[in-house]
Amino acid sequence: MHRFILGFLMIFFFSNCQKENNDLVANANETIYVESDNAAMRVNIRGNIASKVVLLVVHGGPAGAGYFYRTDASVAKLEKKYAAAYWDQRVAGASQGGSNSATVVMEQYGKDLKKVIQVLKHKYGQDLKVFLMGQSWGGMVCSQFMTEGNNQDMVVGWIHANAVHNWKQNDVFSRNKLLTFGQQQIALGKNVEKWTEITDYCTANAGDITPEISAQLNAFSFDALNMIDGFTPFNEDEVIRENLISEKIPYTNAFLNLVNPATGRLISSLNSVEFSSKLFKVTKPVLALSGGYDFVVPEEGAIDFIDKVGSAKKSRKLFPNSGHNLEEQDAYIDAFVQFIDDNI
Amino acid sequence: MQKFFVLFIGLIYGQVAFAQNAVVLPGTGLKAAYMGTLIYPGFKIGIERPYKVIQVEKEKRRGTKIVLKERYWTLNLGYYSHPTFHSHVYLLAEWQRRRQKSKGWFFEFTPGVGYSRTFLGGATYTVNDNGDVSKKALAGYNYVQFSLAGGIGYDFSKRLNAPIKAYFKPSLMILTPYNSFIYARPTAELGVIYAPSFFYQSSPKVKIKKK
Repeated sequence: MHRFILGFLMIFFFSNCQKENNDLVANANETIYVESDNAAMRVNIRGNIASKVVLLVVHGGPAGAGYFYRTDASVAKLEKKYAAAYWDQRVAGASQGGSNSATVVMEQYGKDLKKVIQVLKHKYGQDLKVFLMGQSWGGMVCSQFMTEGNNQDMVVGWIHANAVHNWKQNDVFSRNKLLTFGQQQIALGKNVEKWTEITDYCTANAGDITPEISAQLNAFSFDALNMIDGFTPFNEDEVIRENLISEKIPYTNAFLNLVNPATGRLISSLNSVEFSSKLFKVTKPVLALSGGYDFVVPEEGAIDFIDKVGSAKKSRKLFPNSGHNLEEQDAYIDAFVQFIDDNI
Repeated sequence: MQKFFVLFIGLIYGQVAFAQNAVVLPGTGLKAAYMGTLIYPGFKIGIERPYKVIQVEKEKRRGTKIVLKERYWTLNLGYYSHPTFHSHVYLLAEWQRRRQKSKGWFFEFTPGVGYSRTFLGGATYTVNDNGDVSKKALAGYNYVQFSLAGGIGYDFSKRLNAPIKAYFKPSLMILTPYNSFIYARPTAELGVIYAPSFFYQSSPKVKIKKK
């Protein structure tokens, strides 16, 4: 009897111990954690790591999750040819930790990204080619990393997809786009009540942008996406619902990270953070992508980004029928793959 | 003779009546339960020890209805595994209020506090200032755990004379300081309690209330 109980306990205790696989296979599915300053950050490596090329996904938010980026298009196109590493940043997604609120600051995210790349290269070989894809807030994280010391030597190229590199400047672009587009919609008699509320707010807050105004503009920008004829915004909840079991998503963890007060404090501190003045240091190939209906991070940000980077190889593309969350998935993924093909 | 007979009947009746109202004290119980979330399995084992029993007697038309309000201290060891996320071992002390009906059904409410240790659900790496990467064994975190549970169960000793109870208890466990905040996880327990009379006998304080 006691053997049975012991066996039962052993099965339970070790059922979670997965054998790590560092093999260069065509269909990798590895979950590792990178521990950094009292945070354990989940990294899920999927797809063709045998290619020795990986696209490291730097999610939005802050406090988004890597889960949202593993779409059907990503699986079918990107992961077939190259590998993708879906990284959950500190206090985000499935990441865990102890008392680490003091580390939820801009500089730390650059350090964390560096460690994630170091671990990937340790795991799959120093000759692993790493490309960065930062979306939305992920653009700030990539900018922090790429403009620091010799960090950029660790990567081959950088995709800046609907991404921010200058927080306050982006808020101004966002306000301008809401105002211009809103006035057009009012003139066309579409969603007049809501657009009037938005344009009135933008007009009344035409001066300096405080963290409160920034938060309200962000909320209006997502509202706007739901008021465009024939456009369906990316549904993050649907991704969670569809993959809750298969991807073993710790839903409450991701949700509580999203509402963690440390995330709120981080957002409030970003008003003074900009990388426009440092992007000249970047010499690696870059690609900036934008969505035509993106009010959260309008195209003007990508124009400034391309203007400021020091890279000789730089390009920009607009997806006219996309909002903030890469809605034209096939086209975005094609652009990612093409960028990697061109710079490998 | 007639007086003696009346007195005898009275005594017998009195004994029966007293027997009806006698407190059947709960004993120390050993608990074992499947405890999991959604598809992620786990278990919980423990011991419950009553320290107080309030017998509430309500006069009804059909007779006296007796409800026992039992108070316990419990100590539990729990574990669950959520692959690629973490596995979790914890030691939990609970204060348990149980309302035991005379027909066997019971309801309980159980707040608890304890120690929690997680083990990350994947190989864990650290990088030092020189950029040296190393693997960390048994990586995870220590937390304070709080829990709140409420459930329903059945005491088979009331009908089958077996010192066994079965219960179902949804609960919410909270770990802190988790990313300087909290982690909350809803779980559910399906378990049995075995309370043989010979095991670690308890002598809870008894109080009788009549309504």
